[in-house]
Amino acid sequence: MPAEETAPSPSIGGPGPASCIAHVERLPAKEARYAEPVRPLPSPLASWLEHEGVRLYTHQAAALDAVRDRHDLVLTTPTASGKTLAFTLPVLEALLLDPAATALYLYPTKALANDQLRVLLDAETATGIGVRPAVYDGDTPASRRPGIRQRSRIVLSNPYELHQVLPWHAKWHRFLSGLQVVVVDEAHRYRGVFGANIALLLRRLQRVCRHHGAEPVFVLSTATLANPGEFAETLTGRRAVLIDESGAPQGPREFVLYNPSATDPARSTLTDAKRLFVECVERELQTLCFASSRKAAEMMGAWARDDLADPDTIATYRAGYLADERREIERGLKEGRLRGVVTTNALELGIDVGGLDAVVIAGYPGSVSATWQQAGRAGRTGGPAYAVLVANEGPLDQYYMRHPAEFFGRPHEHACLDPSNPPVLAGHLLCAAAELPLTGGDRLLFGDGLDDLLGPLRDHHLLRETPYGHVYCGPGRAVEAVDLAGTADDRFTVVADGRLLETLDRDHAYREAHPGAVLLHQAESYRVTAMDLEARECTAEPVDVDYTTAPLFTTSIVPGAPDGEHRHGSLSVRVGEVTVEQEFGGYRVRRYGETVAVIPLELPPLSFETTGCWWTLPPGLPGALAAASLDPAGALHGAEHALIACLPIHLLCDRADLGGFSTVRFSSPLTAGDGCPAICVYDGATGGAGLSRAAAALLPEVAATARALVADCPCEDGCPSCIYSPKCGNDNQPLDKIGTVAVLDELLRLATTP
Amino acid sequence: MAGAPLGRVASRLRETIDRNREYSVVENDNLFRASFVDRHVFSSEHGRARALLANLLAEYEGVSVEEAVTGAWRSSPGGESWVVSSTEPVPGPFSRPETALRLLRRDLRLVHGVGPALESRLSRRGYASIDDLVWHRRLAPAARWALDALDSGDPSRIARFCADRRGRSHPDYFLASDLCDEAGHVYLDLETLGLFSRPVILFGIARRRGAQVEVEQHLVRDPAHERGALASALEAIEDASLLVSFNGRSFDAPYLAERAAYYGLGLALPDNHLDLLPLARRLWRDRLADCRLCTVEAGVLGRERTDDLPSAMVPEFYTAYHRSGNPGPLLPILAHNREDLVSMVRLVTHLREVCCAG
Repeated sequence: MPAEETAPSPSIGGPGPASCIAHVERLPAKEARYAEPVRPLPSPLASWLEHEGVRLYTHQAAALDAVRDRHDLVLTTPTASGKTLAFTLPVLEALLLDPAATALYLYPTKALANDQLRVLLDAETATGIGVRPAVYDGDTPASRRPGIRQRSRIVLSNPYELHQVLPWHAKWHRFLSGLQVVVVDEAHRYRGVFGANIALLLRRLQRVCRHHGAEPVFVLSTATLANPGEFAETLTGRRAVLIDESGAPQGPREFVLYNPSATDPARSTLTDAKRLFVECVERELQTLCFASSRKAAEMMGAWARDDLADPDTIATYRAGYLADERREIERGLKEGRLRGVVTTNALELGIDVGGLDAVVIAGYPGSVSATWQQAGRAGRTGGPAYAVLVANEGPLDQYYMRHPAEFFGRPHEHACLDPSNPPVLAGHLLCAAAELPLTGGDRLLFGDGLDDLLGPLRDHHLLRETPYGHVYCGPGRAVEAVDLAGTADDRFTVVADGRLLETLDRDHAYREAHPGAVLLHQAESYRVTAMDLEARECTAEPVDVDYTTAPLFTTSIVPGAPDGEHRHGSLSVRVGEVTVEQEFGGYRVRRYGETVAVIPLELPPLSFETTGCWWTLPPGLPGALAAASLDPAGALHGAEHALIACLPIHLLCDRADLGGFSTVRFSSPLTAGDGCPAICVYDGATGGAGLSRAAAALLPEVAATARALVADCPCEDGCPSCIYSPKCGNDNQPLDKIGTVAVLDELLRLATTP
Repeated sequence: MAGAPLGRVASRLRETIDRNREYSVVENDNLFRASFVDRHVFSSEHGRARALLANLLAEYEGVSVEEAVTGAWRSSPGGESWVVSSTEPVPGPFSRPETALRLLRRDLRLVHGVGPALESRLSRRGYASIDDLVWHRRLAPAARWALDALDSGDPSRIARFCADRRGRSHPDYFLASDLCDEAGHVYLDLETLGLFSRPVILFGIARRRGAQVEVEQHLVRDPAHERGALASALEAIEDASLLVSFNGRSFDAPYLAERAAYYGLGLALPDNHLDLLPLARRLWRDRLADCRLCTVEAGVLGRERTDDLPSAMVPEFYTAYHRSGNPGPLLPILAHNREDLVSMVRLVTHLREVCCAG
């Protein structure tokens, strides 16, 4: 393999028993590829680039050409490939050519917007174009707001602020009427129910822009996805040109997959990750070590300090530290004073700490694209880079350790969202109707769901039909009825020390914020002390405990009439509304994965409507399994767990975003297959998040992954790496591992038989 | 989801919105902070108002709006508007433009560069008016510039000058308002369905005609008529030489702007806008419990309102009318709005007397 010749050395695969190294991937260096835009840049921009010694990479030139032709764009080039310049050049050109032109940059967090502001201020000084860039968010003082509205030509903000600002569009007339480009950075974060909210928010923005006479181009940047074009189209409702080939140069990279439990199940991810981190630092490699929780970060940081001759060369970084402490660590890294930092994902995004030499990732971060984003921190311009992923015992970690080709191959992760989710759509229709009268033309933006919802919203005196369209008439502010993070419906708040920690759907609140639950928020632990179902408020207190909790509940589902069907061979997967009913009996207290206590809970049963997909298996299957001395219920249950465990390999989501149900005898009056064995996968979010709809289309691929996961797992009767689910409401009972493989084989056979 | 579940979606949304109503804390906006002075309702007032509502609904059962409210449709280029007209005798008029000008000339602070400390030094040294400052070595140019403005004979220029130098809540701005012809003064008070981004239900407009106030109330009998009422109310307001309101710079004017934008109507509110609330605060903050219009009325004009509908309950009354079609609940809204308008006219007259006296 020619990659050997360009492989960097020294290899950091060295430390630890060689048998723990599951795979070493050597990625050859890539030369820079440059291109010229179709038309040259006007002089202030051209001379700025010349002065900075910047030549445009192919993807930057392509982005410039596309925006000039008024095409929407989706950029999926990797971290540090110069994405910001790619979308900022056409924006600056537009601002130069048209003195009334403006642009809006949307970032998912305030910190990112502030980071980018510096870049734009520098560009303004260097080019002399009057941009007056400004951040407009919740922290912007009231005294500065009118000035920004009147003068700034690039406004950097976040979706939460945009949501608050849209009703005031009249005050933004100058800005909105000139709006030429909307940049949506880190767009892959806008998925699931959050994504549906952002998709509808962007439609409201388009509607208001149109009213003010502007038709902006949308430029999205996302992490690597399996479906960037489709994702962009769902998010904005518009077609986008895909730019996924980066022209930026890259040094040789070495990526090691390291599996501590390969030799000894007792080996710990954290100790091995710490050891790799320390060795990197001792070899003079500036290293970042990512931990999945605050506690893990603190522990590894403390152990590493004990091991090092000079402990002051390393630091720990996490959310919750004071801003000054964090800036100090960022500076230390940039200036090279710090040789290593152990961090939670608080440092993952956008925050510029310069290029490092090595990255150690302790535990799979949940998606391939997040892993690459963390690994992308390593590599100075053109220099070699090292990354190690140290696996946990979780199924995704173990799957990739055994199937490295899947990790390094083409992207599998689909980002899904469903803007037609009725509870989400209804809230945004009210907001839209409060911004401008809602008319038939808005169906193009909001879809046919608009017509179905107008009647009920009128009946509840929230909308009023007038000759000018539907007008919002509710008794409170429409924007306050919408929570961008979830469905408007039935939200619970979690409060600690009088501060709002987060808001949760009712079903998430039942599972994660019941009395006694230990809740993880931004890598900090809290214990819920009270839950008021009437006021929908949970009270929590910060704690430092070494146990976790998991609820015990039984689930049953009632499928409605299916509204879609995917046929794979002779297997028919139906999609539609399902009513999920759950009874909560208690919760388990778990220490190091072991259940140490079961505590009863008194909660009324939970019922919610969501979207699900379900399929039935031949009625003879349970008999056949039983004849082979396998447990039919355990086999179906195991298959359900394995499929849900593998969905995050195919869809960008967390397994907690999905629920599952399996039964030996399906009771389904409204759909076919009554009495057959069946499996159902449903979206955890009320109204649906688009996940199970996407899963229905991908089922054979998911089943193949799940079969490989279970069959390749060396355990005897199932373990947390294959069919155990951390969120199983039934304490992983019953499960039958061999039966699971048989069910998955049957599923794959059906999917391939015509 | 279809049928019943969509109904449930709407009803849960309605519940969420109802729950949020109590604490409608609006970010973005010290803009409305002022208006919160009348966002609370005493429980006695509330109980009385609820009883009133029940009585009215019983009394006006089966009565049409036309029978209960004497009004007429009026056409304007923007649409149709249902207008309720009435008059009310008031004290006055009282106008002393010469006195106002003389008082303005005595305010040294109108001269650029004169702050509170310098002002007291200057008066100790015998400078009694801006005219005297023309002989001051350093301040002469600024004084001449101020006199230029005050002698211009252009009421809107003088008003703008006073607003720039002293702010719009200063008595100087009030004095300047006496310089423009009172026939062009328009009093404005809106009743709305909420604090922001919901329909206006009543555009109350008043003008003084000699010893009378002419009140013109554009009633939105259905949100479908809001645009027409808005257009015709705007027509009446836009030609005003002076707009007078109580808290209008923070509430009524931005609200009109937002509604005009909502319907895509152009809007050119007069720049000359006298908001009586900040002036009242400046004058009586220490004397009165709060500066709501009805408190000022009672404490300053000595007029107590009986059976007045608290402003915060206007949306509730309107909604009761709108859902039932029973016009009863509209009557206290119209009466409350009319009282507010007439009170503003009385208050301006009272303030002119006070200012000229002192």
